[in-house]
Amino acid sequence: MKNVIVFMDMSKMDEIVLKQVKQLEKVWGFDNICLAHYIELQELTDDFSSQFPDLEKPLEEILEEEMIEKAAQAGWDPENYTVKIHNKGGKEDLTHWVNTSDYNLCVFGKKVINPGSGIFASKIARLIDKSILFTTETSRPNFDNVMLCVDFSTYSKKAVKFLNHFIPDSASNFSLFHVYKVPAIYFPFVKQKSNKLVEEERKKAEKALDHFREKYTKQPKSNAWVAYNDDQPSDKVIYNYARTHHVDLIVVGIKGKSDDDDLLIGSVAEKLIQPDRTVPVLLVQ
Amino acid sequence: MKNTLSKYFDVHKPVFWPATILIVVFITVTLIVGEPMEKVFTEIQDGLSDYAGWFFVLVTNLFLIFCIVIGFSKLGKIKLGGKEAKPEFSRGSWFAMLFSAGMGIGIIFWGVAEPMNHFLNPPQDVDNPGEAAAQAMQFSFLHWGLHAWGIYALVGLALAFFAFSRKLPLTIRSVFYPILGDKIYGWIGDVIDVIAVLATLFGLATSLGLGVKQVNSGLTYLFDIPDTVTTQVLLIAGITLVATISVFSGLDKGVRKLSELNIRIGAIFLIFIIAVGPTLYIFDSYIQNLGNYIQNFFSMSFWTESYAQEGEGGWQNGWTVFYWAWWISWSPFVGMFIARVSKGRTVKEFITGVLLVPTLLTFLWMTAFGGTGIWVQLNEIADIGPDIVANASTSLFVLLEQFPLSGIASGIGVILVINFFVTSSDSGSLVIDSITAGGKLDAPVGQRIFWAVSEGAVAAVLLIGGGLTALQTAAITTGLPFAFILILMMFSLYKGLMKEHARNLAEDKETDFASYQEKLKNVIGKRTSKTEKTKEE
Repeated sequence: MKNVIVFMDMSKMDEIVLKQVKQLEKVWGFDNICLAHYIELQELTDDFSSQFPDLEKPLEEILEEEMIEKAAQAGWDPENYTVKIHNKGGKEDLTHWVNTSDYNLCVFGKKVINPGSGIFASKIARLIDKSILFTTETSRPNFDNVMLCVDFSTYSKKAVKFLNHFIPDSASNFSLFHVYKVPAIYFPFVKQKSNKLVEEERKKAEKALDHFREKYTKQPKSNAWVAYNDDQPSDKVIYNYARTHHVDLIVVGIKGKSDDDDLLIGSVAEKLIQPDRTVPVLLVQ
Repeated sequence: MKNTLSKYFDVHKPVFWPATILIVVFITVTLIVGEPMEKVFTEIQDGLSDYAGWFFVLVTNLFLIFCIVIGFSKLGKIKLGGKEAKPEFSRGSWFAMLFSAGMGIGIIFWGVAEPMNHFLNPPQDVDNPGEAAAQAMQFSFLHWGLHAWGIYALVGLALAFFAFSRKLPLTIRSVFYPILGDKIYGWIGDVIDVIAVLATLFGLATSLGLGVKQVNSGLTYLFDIPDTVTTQVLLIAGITLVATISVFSGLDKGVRKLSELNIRIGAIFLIFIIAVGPTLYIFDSYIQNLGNYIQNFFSMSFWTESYAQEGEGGWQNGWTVFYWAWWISWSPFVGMFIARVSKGRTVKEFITGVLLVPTLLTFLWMTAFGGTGIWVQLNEIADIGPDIVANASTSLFVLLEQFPLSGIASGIGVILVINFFVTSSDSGSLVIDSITAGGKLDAPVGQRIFWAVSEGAVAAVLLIGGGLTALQTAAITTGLPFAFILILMMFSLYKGLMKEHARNLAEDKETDFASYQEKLKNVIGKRTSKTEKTKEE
């Protein structure tokens, strides 16, 4: 099943995200879609209620109308989605709902141009154990070029499986990407790493990535790219490579919540979803 | 039929049945083999303390340091049961339950006997009796102080954290979730729980059996009631009955009430001895003993008798290492219990409470009873030492005889011992019951009664057939494997707490309320003007 929750934040970004998801549905095909909004105010503050002393309807109802209207504007058929407004129980309850539901992908809009803090999205991302897609205003929602970052861990394998399940065979160009490093040699200490060594490591990395591709991916024409990580952090190497190769979606497998190792979603993933990065990111867990 | 059964019994079969069968097998074998069994276990235990003494000394220090570091680091702010959790019991009841579950019974048994033993056989060289007295108190403090509670705090904290904050079942296996993952629900978890049940039941049954001997000797001392197996079995039956009633009425009624009653009687008893005994001496020496304990804390707690000459050593194996192994083998029981009552406390509060309160009280008790014993001996008021060393179970009554109103005091003493037994027995039943029910906090009543009665039955059978000491030695022998489990537990707990801390940090990140509010206002403004428009139309 491909069940998707689209989180709306009541900003202009919603319209963009709704259009993108609509487009993406045509390409990927979704079984169930839920539009969700979380009311961040546990109690309305005084200032807020003084401005609207007598709301005619409950806040939830107003918000639901707004969401339905936005969806209609983006060309959505009301038959095709459900609406969920989450109000009580705080974030704990929200994450519990998401984690125990049948939905396996959450979509958040990440604002690169429009103002917004993105704190809510990045916070929720840490708490839920479903896969998360961060789109941006400039996303090309067909996701023609998908690039999966592979580090040969079980998380990479999980990510491939997820993509095999979610993306139809013909839908996207599929590339695997691996950042290789040359181990530092401390004795004898050589500052400059020799080209020969870099070349050797590249060959090793290419071989491993080819093997990975043959074993796990089902797209026959997928690319396998490796890049040498000299001194830059991996996330920068990945991001720069994605920009220059017209990648529409970066996919990273991350540790799920069941692995109690750490809550942080991993330093690479963390940096890739920073507000200033324009390439959409899919975190698979 | 099935319905009525499940109403009274709701067991986790892979733990309940192996545990029950192993208990029956073990008891049968102990009874049939008899004395050689005791010998075997004694040899194993001697071997353990000879070869692994240093290890016990090392790990108990490690556990204590770990607890203090955790409690006073950034992790101390974490609340057991989530941010919103509220404590289930008031502070007073909490302290009372901590105290009486842990070692209430032990200090009544050893409170006089232990300091007296050390005084008459000083562990380290001394020049004069005064020094011997100070040293005797110091070592008694060492054994009953922070280290013991460090072990309990570690186990209790780990259990409470994973049960309340992670919502895992309250059983020993849950603690290993960060290491084993979902495997804790498989056979490994079952094995861990079965071991915990066995250690707890054997520990409880043997101390019930041995303790009843103390009650009996007290009664003999007081009323000339014959010191026979029949009396003791009757006593066990009585204690088990009261414990069953208490277990039947649950933690917040029976167990809590009895624990509080214990503390009251204990307090009266303590005040009594301070009043009729050498009052000033008790206060003086309490302060001095505390100072000595703090001053010599590290040298004592890391002391391993390494430079004892041929034929001299061995003191430590009989005392310190014995205690360390004992506390460790009891830790599943005490840990489970203190975890059970500590929901809603912060880590810092938990560590401070569990380490300090029982320790300070125990020290006062030790000073009042053991210290007074030493005072009687030191000032040559009476030569009670040899009697006490010869038979620890009468030591309390021997001491009381030196003071006015000794008949009434001894009577209170006996009641206190019995009551402490009841609370140990009922809290033990709650613990075993919870483990064998797969971690349910409110397992059916029938099952609780079953375990309370089994403890009594095991103790009685062993009293009649012999083999109590064998079983106690066996229970203590589990200390070594458990020490390794506790080391794993330390890592596991650390991992879990770090993750919780990171989660809390992420939660606390300033939410952008202002901009969210702005968005809501826009939406509402837009929608209300729309509805007005449609109305106008």
